[in-house]
Amino acid sequence: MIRNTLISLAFAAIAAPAFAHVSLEQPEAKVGATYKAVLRVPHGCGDLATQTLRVQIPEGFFNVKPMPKAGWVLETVKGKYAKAYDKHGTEVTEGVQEIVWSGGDLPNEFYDEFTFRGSFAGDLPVGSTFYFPVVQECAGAQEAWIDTSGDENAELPAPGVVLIEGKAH
Amino acid sequence: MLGLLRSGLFRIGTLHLAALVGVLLVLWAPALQAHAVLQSVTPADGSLLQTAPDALRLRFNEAVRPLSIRLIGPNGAVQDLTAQVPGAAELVIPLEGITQGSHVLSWRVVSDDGHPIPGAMVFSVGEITGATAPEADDGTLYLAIWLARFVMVAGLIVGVGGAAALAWIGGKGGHRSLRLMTIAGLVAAPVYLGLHGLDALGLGFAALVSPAPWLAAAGTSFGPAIALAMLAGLLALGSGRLRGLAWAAMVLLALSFAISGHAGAATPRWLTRPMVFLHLLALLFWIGALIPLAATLRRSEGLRRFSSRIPVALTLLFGSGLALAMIQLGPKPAHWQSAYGAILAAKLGLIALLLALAGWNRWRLTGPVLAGDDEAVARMRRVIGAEVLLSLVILGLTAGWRFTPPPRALAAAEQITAPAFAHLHADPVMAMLSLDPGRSGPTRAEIDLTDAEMAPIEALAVTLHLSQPDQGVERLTRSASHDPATGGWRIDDLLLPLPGLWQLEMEIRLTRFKMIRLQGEIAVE
Repeated sequence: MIRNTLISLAFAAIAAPAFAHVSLEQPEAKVGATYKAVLRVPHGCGDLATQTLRVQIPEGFFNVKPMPKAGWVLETVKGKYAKAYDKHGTEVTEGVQEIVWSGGDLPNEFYDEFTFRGSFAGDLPVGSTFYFPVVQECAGAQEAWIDTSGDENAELPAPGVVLIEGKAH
Repeated sequence: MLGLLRSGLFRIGTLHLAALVGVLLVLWAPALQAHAVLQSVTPADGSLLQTAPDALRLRFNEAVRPLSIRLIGPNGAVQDLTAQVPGAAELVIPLEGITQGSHVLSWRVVSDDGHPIPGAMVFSVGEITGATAPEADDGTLYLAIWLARFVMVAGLIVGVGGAAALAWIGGKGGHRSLRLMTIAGLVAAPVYLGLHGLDALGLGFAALVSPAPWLAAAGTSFGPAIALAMLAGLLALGSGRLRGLAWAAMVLLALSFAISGHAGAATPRWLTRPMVFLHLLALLFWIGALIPLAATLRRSEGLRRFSSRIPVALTLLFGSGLALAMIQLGPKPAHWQSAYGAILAAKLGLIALLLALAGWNRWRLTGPVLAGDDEAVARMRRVIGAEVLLSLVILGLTAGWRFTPPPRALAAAEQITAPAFAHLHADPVMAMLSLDPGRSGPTRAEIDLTDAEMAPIEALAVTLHLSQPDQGVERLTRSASHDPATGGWRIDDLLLPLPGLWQLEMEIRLTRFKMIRLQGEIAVE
């Protein structure tokens, strides 16, 4: 019993961030810089195969371009940003707010990655975690990786990156 | 992945690094797969079973190791079963000595990724604790219980009361029929005890050959009460000319009623128990005297004595009866129209009839009988016969009280079933949670979501987690369903295995990508 608890504590200490969760390959990103987000999907919804992956792009991550994937239909939902962002001197006021890879078939036994890139605004607070809520949809089930509380024990945490100081242009 | 690992490790002091790497090397290899997900529970969470299962099965999508597995019984007793459950993809939790009622299995397992996964499930055997639904085939048992109680009560009251009356009036009139009544009561008493045990344990008649129902019944207040009643019957049988024994039998029988049953159990007991005692003494005096009187009418001395004392006995009988009825009926007239109230009303009607007969005897016939009028003697015998029959019917009715909770108990139960409320708030959502009834056992949750201005809020899904960390009950998770009629959310099949303070966590999915979590607690009876 005590041994089990110790082992589990050791695991918990080492294994956070757990590999079980949908997560981002690069855990840190610079503010005011581009970022290539690689979403790692380690399993299906329980036993079920993943058919659709939806990613929300929150305010502050702009100029977003997803990477197409063979066997998947790629769509984006665009909308107006809350404020204008500076893209090398050009004002950007609208863009991708949701990415949808659908029509795929990723069995629970397999692993895959989904990629998109964009830029973090320069005025985002350094040290904070920027979350990309993800909804993984399977036949008749879904896993909503949308918990942005930062709680270590969250069952379905949203994948996030820690923002660090960026180089001045 | 390596980069992630490295950046995590670099923040930790180098001294710890070696130790961590050591642990890593030992434990890392199998740790790369996804974390475990509970896939099925057998029997299903919340199920009601007729018989206890041999084992509970928790199936995960991969092997897990139990950290803590606890089974909490209906009485709150906790069994730690961790040591008996080997790690596997399917955990088999052996069950032994499962009693009737609702049980909760609280578990915490760890999968290869070291993520502790807590959970809990509830199952019930025979009945869902807190809601005792009599089974359809209990009819025969209830009839047998009623019959045994009636024969015991009527036999002993007429027999013991009669023996005391004989000792008082003198003579041997009706001696044999009184002995027969006493013996019938003495035979019925243990039968009643056994049947009561069957009812308490929910067993069939066949179980009477086993000691379980007898021990169970003897352990209730009926045990000593029936022992006293039987002692009273035996004393009455052995009393013969010894007056003292007959009096003692009468007192013991009255005591036996005072220490068990609805009336003696009502509060304040310092009032109800003496009242029941006096009620029974007066009853024994009155009913007991009927048969000896009928047999000794020509010896006018007995009737004269009875006539002079009966007003005292009747005053005691009605005074105590009135007080007990008022306590038992309780404060709420709405509950008076229960089965208990119906029996009381019928009893009062029959008593009015009985009193009319007694009055006829007292004021019309006693004079002529004492004067030696043979026709009056024959008439009085017939009237007394009718009185005995009526008394037996009344005793039969009151034996039915065994099955009817008194209105005071219904009123008290209603108080406990008042809903429990909790108010949870985290910007921008407020949630009102009500549990109705607000007690452990089966209940229903209703959840209303509003914003800070109390305007209703739409949501995609609402999930409620309940736990009792201090009782070792891990999170029970229930999804609420949307109720289009009220616009709120509800969980109809919620089963709270234990009373006390429950920790609440409510997950509200506001949009596809937005979830908010509210926390709070709720107290249930």
